[in-house]
Amino acid sequence: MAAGGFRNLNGCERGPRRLGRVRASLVLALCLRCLTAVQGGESDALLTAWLETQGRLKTWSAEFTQTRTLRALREPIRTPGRLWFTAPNQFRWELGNPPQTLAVRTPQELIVLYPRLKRAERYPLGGEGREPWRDALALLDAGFPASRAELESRFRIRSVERLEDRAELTLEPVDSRARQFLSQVRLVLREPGFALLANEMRFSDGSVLRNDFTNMVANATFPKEVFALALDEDVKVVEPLKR
Amino acid sequence: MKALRRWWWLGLLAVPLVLGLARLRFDVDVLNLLPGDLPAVRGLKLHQEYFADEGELIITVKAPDPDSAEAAAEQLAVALRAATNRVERVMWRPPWLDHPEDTADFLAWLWLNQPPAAWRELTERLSPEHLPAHLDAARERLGTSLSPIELARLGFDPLGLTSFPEGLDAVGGGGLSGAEDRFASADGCFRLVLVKPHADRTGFLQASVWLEEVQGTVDRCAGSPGWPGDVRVAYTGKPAFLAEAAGGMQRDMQSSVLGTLAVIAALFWLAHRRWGPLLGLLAMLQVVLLLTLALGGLFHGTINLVSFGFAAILLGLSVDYGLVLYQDLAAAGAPAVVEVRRRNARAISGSAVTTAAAFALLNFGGLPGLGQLGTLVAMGVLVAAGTMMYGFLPLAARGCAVSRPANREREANGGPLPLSNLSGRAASGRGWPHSRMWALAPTGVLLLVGGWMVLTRLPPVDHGTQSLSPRHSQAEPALREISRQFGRGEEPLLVLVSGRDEAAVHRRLEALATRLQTAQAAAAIASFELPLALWPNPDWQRANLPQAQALAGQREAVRAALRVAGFAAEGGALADRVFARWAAATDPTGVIWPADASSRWLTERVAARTPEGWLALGTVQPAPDLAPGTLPADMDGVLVCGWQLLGEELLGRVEARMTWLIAGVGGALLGCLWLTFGRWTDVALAVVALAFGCGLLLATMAALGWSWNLMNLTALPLLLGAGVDYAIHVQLSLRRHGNDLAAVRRTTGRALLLCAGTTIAAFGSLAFSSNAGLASLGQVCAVGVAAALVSALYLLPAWRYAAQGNSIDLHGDRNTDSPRGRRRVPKPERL
Repeated sequence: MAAGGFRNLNGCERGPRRLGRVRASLVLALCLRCLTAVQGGESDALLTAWLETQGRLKTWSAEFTQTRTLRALREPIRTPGRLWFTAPNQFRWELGNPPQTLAVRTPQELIVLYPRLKRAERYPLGGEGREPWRDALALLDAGFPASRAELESRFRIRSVERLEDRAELTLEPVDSRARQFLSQVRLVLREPGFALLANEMRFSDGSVLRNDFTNMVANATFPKEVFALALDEDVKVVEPLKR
Repeated sequence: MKALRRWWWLGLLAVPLVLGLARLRFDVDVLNLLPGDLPAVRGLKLHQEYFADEGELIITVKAPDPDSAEAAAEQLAVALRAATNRVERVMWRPPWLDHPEDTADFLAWLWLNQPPAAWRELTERLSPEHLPAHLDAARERLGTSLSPIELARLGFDPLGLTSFPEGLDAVGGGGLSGAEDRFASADGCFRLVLVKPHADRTGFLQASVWLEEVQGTVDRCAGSPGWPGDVRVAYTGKPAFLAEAAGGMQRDMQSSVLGTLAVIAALFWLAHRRWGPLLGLLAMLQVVLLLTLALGGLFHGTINLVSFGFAAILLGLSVDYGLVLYQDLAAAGAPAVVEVRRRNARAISGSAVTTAAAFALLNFGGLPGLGQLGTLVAMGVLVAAGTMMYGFLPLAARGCAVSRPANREREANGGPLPLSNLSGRAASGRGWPHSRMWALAPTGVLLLVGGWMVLTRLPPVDHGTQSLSPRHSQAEPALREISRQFGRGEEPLLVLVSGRDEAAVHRRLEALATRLQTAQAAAAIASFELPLALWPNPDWQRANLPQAQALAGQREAVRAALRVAGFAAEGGALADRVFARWAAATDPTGVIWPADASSRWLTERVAARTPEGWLALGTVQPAPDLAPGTLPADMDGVLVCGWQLLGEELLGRVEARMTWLIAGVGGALLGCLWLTFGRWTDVALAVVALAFGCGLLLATMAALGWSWNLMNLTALPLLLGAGVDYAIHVQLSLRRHGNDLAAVRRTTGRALLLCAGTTIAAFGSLAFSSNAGLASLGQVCAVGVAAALVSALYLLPAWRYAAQGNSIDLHGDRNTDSPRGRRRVPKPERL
C-alpha cells in the first residue's frame, strides 16, 4: 500500500492502474446488470404466464381456511370458508360454517353481511374517490387481476420468487394511503398451472390474514344466486364510507 | 437671534410632529376597514383573533402522485421544524399519528364529556358480569369481520372505548376521525403543511421577512437530493396575506406618491419652466405629507390599508393651492408675498374647508377604513392650505425673480387670474360655434353613445367582497385550490357561540343544535357541524369523574379478563392508558380540558378562551338558495358570519348611507350654487353639467366593464363636490370674460386642466394599488373628475350658449349676462 501510495504521489503507474480498476468495476457492473436482467426477465415471464392463465379463467371456486394472526390476540384464529369468483371481478366470500360473514362483490359495490348481527355494510366501489378503506376492501380480490394494467394500477410488484413446486408474488399497494393499513399482499401459486394456493395480507400493525385454498374448481358454472345477496328486512344496512 | 425669534413656532410644531410619527402604526387587516358593529364583521374578527388555524401559514404541496406529495410534505415539515427560531409548530398530518399515545388522552377526556346515560352503558359493559361476554364477542368479530375499520379498531380497542353513543358525529363529534382529511386531498396528491410562526414573528413588519425566511427554507429543501420531482409548492393563510398586504402597501405608497409627484412636476414645468419654485413646491408637498402622517398618528394612531391612498389624493389636491399662489405671485411680483397671501387667503381657506368637509363626509359612508382615509385627506388639505401660504409662498418668492407687468396690470384691473400667461394671446371673443346646433352637436353625440352604453350595459353592483381583497395575490388562488382539492365547494358559514363559561356555551350549543337540526330537516340548510360532542359540560364532568375513577380502579380485573379472552398485551394497551388518565384526574374545581399537544391542537380549532369567557366555533353549509332569516342570528350569544354574508351586509350599509349622503351633499350643493349664481338658469346648468358628468362616468364604466362596489360607491359624494367646482369656475369665468369662450378656455380652462390633471394623476395612481377596492375607487374618481371636467369645460358653455342664445357675445365684446350676474362676479375660488 505504501509503495502504491508513493507511486501515486510520483505520478507513476497511477493512470493505468486506476483505469484497470475502473474497467474491472465496469465489467462487474455489467455482469450484475446482466444477471439482474436475466432474473428480471424470468420474473416477467412468470408474471406474464400467470396473467395469461388468469385471463383464461372464467370462474373459480374453492374452500379455504382463513388464519388471522392478529397482534391483539395471543393465538391465531382459524375459520373455514368458501369462495366463488367470476371474471372479471365478482366474488362471494363466506366465512364460518355456518357463515358468520358474507362478502359479495359486484362491479359497483361490495356488500358485507353479518347475519348474526343482522347488519350489512355497503361499500360503493365506483367513482374517483380513493379512500384508504375502499382500497383495502378492493384488495380482497387481489388474487384475481383482470389484466397486467389493472394489477399494476393497484400494486407494485415487489418480488416474484420461484420455488420447487410453487411461485410466490409479493405485492405492495401503490396508494400510500392504502399502505397505511395494508403493507403487503402475497400470492402463492402452484407450479405448473398457476392455481391460487394461498393469499396473505400483511397489515401495517404486523397482523397477518392468510387464506389457504383447497378443493379448487376452475371454469365451472355457478347459479346466478351466488352473487345476489338477499338481505332480510330486519337487516340494518349502513354505508361506513358515506359522510 | 432674529431668525430664532422668527421661526420659534417651528420648534413648537416639531413636538406634535415627533409625537405623531412615534405613535404611528400600520394595520393591514382588511377587517379593520369595516364597521365593527356589523355581526358578520364582529364574527370574522373573533374568528381571526381566537382560533388557531387563522394564524397559520398554509403551504400547499401538489405532486403527480400521493407518494411524492407525502414525501415532499414530510421533508418540508422536518426542514421547517429545524428552524426553531422561526416556527412554533409545523403540522403535516394529524398529530396523533406522530404521538399515538395522545389518542388515549383525548378518549379519556371525551368520555368525561359524555352524558351520564352513556356512562351507565359503559360501566355496565365493563362490569365483571358483562365484560367476558363482551370480549368473547369482540374476539369473534376479530375472527370473522371483513371490515378493515372494525378489524383495526377491535385490534387495539376490544373494550369499545372508541365507540361513542350514536349521534356524536351528527353534532360535530368528528374528533379524530376525518382529521386526516384536513391534510390531504382524497387522491392524496395534494397536501397541506401548517406552519405556526413564533409569536414575535406575526406582526405587520415581520410578516414579509418571516415568509421570505420560510420560503428560503422550502427552496433549500426543494433543492435537496431527496426531493421528489415535479412538486409544486404555494403559500396561503393569514401570514401570506399579511405579507402580501404589507408589501403591497409599501409599493402602493411609493408608486402612487412618486407617480403623482412626477406628474405634478411635469405639468408645473410645462406651465412655468422654473426650477426653483418647482423644487420648492415638491418639497412643500412632502412636508404636507409628513405633517399629515404625524396628525394621523396623533389622531388615529394606526393607519389602515386603504388610508395609505391618502398620500396620492392629498398631493393632487394640495398642489392646487400652490399653483394658485404661484400664479398670483408670478403676476404680482416677488415682493408682493404678503399681498398675494392676503388676497388668496379667503379663497384658499374656503376651498380647503369645503374640500376637507367633502372628504370628512366619507366618515358617514359606513366604512370606517374609508372614513379614516377621508379624515386624513381632510386634515391634509387644511395642512396643505397653511403650508402653501406660509411655507411655499415665501420660498416661491425667492425663485420668482421676474415680475410680469402685464399680469400685474390685469390683476389690478380685477381681470382673470392665473395661467393666462401660458399664452400671450389676448382675449378674442372667438371660440363659439356658428349655430346652436353645432354647439349642441358634441353633447348629442355623447348623449347618444353614452346613453346606448349605459342602457345596454349599466354597470352592475358587485355584492361580493372582492373589492376588499388584494389584487394579483398569490395566496388567494392557493386558497381557492385548497377548496377545490378538498371538494369543499362553497365555503361554509361560521357560527360562533359565546358564553361567560363552558356551561353557558354548552347550553347555547344544545339550543343551537336543535334549531339547526330543524332547519336541516326543512332543507333550509344543507348541513352543519357544532363542537357539541367536544365541548365540556361541567355538570357531566363532575358526575362522570367518580365513575371514571371507579372504572380505573378495576384496571387489573379488566387486564385479567382480556388475558382470559385470549387478548395479548397490545389489545389492552389503549384501555390501560385511558384508565391511567382517569385515575390521574383530580376532582375538578373547574372544567377539565385535555392537556396533551394533539388534543389541544384539535380543541383549539373549535374552542377559545376570550377575556369575556369562552367561544365555540361551528359551521353551517347553507342551502343553495339561502332564505333570509333562516340562520339563527337572533339567538343570544350566537353570531353567524362569513365572507359571503359580509358583502351583502356591507353593501346594504353603504347603500343606505350613500343615499342620505348624496342627498345631503346634493342639497348643500344646490344651496352653494344659488348663493354663487343667484340665478336658477345657472344653477340648473351647473346641475345638468354635474349630471352629464355622472352620465359620462357611467358610460365609461359600462364601456370598460367596471362595476360598482362598496368601496367605489363612496366616490360619488367626492365627485359631486369636485364636479360642481368645475361648473362654477367655468360659468363665473364666462361671466367675467363677457362670454369670451376663447379667453375662458385660455385662462380658467387651462387652470382647470392643470388642476384636474394633477387630481386625475393622483386618483389614477391609485388604480395601480394592490388593494382592489382602493384601485377601483381611484379609477372611478379619476374617470369621474375627467368626465366632470369635459362636461363643465367643453359642454357647459355650449348649453349656456344654447340656453341664452343672442345674449352671448360671439365677437368678444365684454358684457355680463345680467345686472345681477354683474354684481355677483366673484373671484375664482378653488382651482
